[in-house]
Amino acid sequence: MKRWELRALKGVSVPILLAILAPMGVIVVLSFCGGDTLTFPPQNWSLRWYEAVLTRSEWLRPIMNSLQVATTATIISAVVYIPAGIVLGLRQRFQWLLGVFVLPFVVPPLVLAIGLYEGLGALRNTFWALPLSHAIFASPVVVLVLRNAAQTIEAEGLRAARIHGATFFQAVRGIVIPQIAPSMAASALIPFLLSLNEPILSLYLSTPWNQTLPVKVWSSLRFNVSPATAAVGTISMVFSGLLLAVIVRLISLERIDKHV
Amino acid sequence: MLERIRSTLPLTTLLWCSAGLVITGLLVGGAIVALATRVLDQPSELKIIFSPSVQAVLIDTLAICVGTTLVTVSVGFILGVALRFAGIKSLWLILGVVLFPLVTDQIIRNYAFYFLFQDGGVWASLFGLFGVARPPQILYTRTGVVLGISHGLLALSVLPVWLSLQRLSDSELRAAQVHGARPLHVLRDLVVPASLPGVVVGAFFTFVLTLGYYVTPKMLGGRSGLMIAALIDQYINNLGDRLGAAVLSLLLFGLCLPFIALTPYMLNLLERRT
Repeated sequence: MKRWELRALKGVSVPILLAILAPMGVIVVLSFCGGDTLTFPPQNWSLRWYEAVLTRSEWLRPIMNSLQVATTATIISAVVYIPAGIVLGLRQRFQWLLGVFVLPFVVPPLVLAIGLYEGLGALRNTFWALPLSHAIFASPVVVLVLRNAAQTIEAEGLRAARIHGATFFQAVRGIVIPQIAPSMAASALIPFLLSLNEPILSLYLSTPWNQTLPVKVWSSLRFNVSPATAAVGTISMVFSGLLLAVIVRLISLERIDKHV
Repeated sequence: MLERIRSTLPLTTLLWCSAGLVITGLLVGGAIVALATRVLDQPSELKIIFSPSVQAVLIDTLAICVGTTLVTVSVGFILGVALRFAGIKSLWLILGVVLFPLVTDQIIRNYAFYFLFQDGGVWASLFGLFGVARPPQILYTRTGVVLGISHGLLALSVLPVWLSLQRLSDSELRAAQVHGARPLHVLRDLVVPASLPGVVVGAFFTFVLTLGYYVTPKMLGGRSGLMIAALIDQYINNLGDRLGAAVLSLLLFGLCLPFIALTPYMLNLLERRT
């Protein structure tokens, strides 16, 4: 590509990228407001709201709940959906099963939330309801990422292992997993990330005593907006950004090795 | 020996998928069945689908879906092309920025929008700088909701376009250049056709995800929220009408059914690489 074409492309892309980042940037700036109200630009800058968020239990409890739910959802998601993703990538048959696995992505989360609310009845107040719903919410991405990774495995290696007497599981453990280990790690982090930020299922399925962070943010925005919300938002965005960087790095590490 | 290998694998495939199938199937199927049983208790309630308020919201929803799809596809195309031709450092930068809204809390993101565009906010001040007294209204309009949703779903259009543009090899482009093709011709004859599968897939998923979008219309949309999902939420929280909410949820699910059916085909579209 010639010089001016690249420059034209950059000229168009940069404003777009800045526009994408702008709302997030506003939240970061707002989190440093010294006063009790949100003013842009802040009239006096201070870190007091970060201190408030990290010490007060009204914020710490939802943060802990979120981490707990996210961890549980990750374990469920990894154990249940990683095998499915691997197998769908290795074999060309049964690809129609993908249609089932991608369902939670295409069905609106609100429909799932309300349906589960009605359907689970008393069960929805147990600890498992929310992590389970988060797990299936993240499952399409997990399955697709692993399927993509498993498709890069060459069939000959597996067939050689089987011919020499290995069971399918042994072949996978010995040949597939070492090759797609980064993708597996990434696909374990993905449900964690998605669960932390998931607002809709949490709003409908959480109880007052396992309120997750998005729910707390929601109610604080409705009832008493303060820079604390912006501070929590910034912390959450930074953490999510870091996790995202790790996930993308893991996936790209694998691709670069294979020139995919 | 080879026969045995071939014949056992399908069973293994199903076995490994079984846990996932059971859980996904049970929860998604269970949710729909629960809604359906609720509605079947009082089938007469189905008539609210034809009430003027619901019809108006349906039209608004579809308009917003179309608008969002157009915006994300256009911007997605530009950024997808940028990703294709970017150097390593730019690639990481663009990818990071594009993926970032996907992983941030929707509520916080939309609140930033709300804050920017509220009366007396930053948007109004910007126009005030140029002496314009009343800036164009963004909040509580379809445009505002389109912008808010596009911001969140942009990655869904950029990534498929980038993926399908990867089929376009550097040597093809160089060959075109060597043969004297002007950049506009390269764009028209090589880049755009190569990006089409990605554009179609991106548009497809953007449309169906916008159909069910909840947080943005609720925060930026005003009284009716302008979209079905926000309306459903109103039925539950403001009217306490769970039955009506169930009816509308089934309606929303019904609208998504054609997309559910076409999803495997769309995923296939992205996979076909020469």
